[in-house]
Amino acid sequence: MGQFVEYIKMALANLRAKKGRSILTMLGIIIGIASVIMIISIGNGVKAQISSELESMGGGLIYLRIDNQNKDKEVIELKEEDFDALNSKISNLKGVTPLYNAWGTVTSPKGNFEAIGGAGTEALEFNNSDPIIKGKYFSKEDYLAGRKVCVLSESDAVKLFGNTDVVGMTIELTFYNVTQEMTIVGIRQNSTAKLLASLVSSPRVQIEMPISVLGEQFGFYVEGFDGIYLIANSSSTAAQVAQDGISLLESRHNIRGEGRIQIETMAEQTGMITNVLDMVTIFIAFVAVISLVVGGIGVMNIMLVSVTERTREIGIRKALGARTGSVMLQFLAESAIITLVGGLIGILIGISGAIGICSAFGFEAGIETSVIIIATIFSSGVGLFFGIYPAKKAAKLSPIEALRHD
Amino acid sequence: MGSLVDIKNIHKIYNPGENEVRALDGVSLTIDRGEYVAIIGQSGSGKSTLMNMLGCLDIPSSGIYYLNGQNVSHMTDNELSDIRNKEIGFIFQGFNLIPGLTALENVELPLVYRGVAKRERIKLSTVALEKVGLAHRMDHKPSEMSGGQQQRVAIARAIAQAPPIILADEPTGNLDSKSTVEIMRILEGLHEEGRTVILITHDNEIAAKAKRVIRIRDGRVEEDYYNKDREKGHVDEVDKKKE
Repeated sequence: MGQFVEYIKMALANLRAKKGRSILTMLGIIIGIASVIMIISIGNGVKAQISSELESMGGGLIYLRIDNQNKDKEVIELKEEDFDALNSKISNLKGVTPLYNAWGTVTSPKGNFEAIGGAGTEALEFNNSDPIIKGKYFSKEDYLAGRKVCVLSESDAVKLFGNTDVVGMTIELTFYNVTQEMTIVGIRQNSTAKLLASLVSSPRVQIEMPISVLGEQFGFYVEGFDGIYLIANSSSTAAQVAQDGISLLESRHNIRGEGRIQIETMAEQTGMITNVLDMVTIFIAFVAVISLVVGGIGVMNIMLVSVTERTREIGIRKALGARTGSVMLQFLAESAIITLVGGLIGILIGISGAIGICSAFGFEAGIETSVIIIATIFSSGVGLFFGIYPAKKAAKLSPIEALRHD
Repeated sequence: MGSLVDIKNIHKIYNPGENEVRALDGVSLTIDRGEYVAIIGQSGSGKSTLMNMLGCLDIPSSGIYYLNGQNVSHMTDNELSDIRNKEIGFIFQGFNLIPGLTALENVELPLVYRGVAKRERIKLSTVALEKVGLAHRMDHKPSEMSGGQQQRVAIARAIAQAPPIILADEPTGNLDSKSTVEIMRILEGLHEEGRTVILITHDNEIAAKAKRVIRIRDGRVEEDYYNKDREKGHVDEVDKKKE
């Protein structure tokens, strides 16, 4: 053990003596390790960010659609009774709503604006995870009674009135030449996504309202629907809710086993996106690992040069009683120190780089200890693996030959 | 007590077969503890090969070599390393100091491989350097010292661990006459202290300073005699070995 410490000291002294070369050799390892850690951490961060954003956009949102393409089959529409059945019989279900979009204009004290009316049941509230910050969402009673109420987003309220203290005020909505006065009952917070979208274009004013109003006041057909949204408590229960919903509706409409009900869940899309992200991360990390291997070959190269340069020294050491193992350990220690120190610097740069880049883009880096541990093991592995050949070469030198070397 | 070095009918043959070179062709000799022996020969005589054998840097093709009672003729590389470390202090023609290390660190080296603790190493090395008159040069690198000083560091390195044999291979080959005198005086001093000194040289003048001369030619011992004229009346206790 004491001997071992001596070899490490010798190795350190040698590395110090050739500082520039040691640092350049280390650079390969530093870049390799730093890029592996940075890429994986950023990849994890992006993945986490995307999943949480998708979750907030409606992780538990399920779109359920009846296939009415086949002209031979009876057309099936989902109606109020279906909503009630779903709401009462399916657990983990927050609500059921169709979503109708009507294009038109809105008139406020500030003038006329293009508008989209998004109409549904009171469950439309959950279609979007942005909270109501003023007033309240329209209620089931509002929906059932067909009251002329609506909800605006923060930024649209500012657009229409100049401020957000507009609960109780009215706007005039015009769809297909029918104009109705609507009372504002709530203001929804702006999502970051919406704010970003408003930077690049000037979107239409979005107005959320009971679908019954669209029918009673504007003359739309709102009695039955091809497609509706089921909103599950969370993304994890979405699949089960979708399953239960399908089987309930199939039995209510006697289409069991015909496969006419199709669903899309946000969770599925999230899964697809994260799968793609995983693949991209793995691919880039693979490229980074190659750079690490190249760094390792650099270490081997330098160690081979060093062995050739120091052949005479090796001869002297062996003549004075160094065993094969001692020479080998000394050279192995040198390459191990290069890779270990390089690896540690690389880890620091990788972590700070990942944190820096991620915070510049406004999300959190996904730094995992397992990645760091694997990177450390890998870098010392590279050092040992690529150090063994030169070290063996050095240790096997015959002292006579080595002493004759100039 | 047996001889320190006991070589029996040693052969060293390179390229066995067609172009074989018999570098050593049946050499037998014994060297007792405390002797001061010069092995002399022209280049190509086999004296370097003999020195490699004596120094346990190589093993013979055939024959037996007992060093300090141990048969070293069939030892593995690592065993030979240990033997060299324990039994032999080398002094080379080219000094063979490690350029990156200070005088003190160079002297410490064999002690490192023997596993001596740092404190003890520094003590032994300092004593050895003082003995060769280099106490004031301990922190100098080889490049900062003259040839004579470097060779004195090498001698300090050879004696620091107090090995039974000092094996000096053309120790004055690279030195001017003043340094040569200095180095030879140190070697003689070591002999007078009772150490066994084996000197390999091609120079008759240098060989004349030893007590016993073994002349090698064509891989064989040609002559083995005592420098009687240097005895000045002192009678050697070992029986004469002429022929």
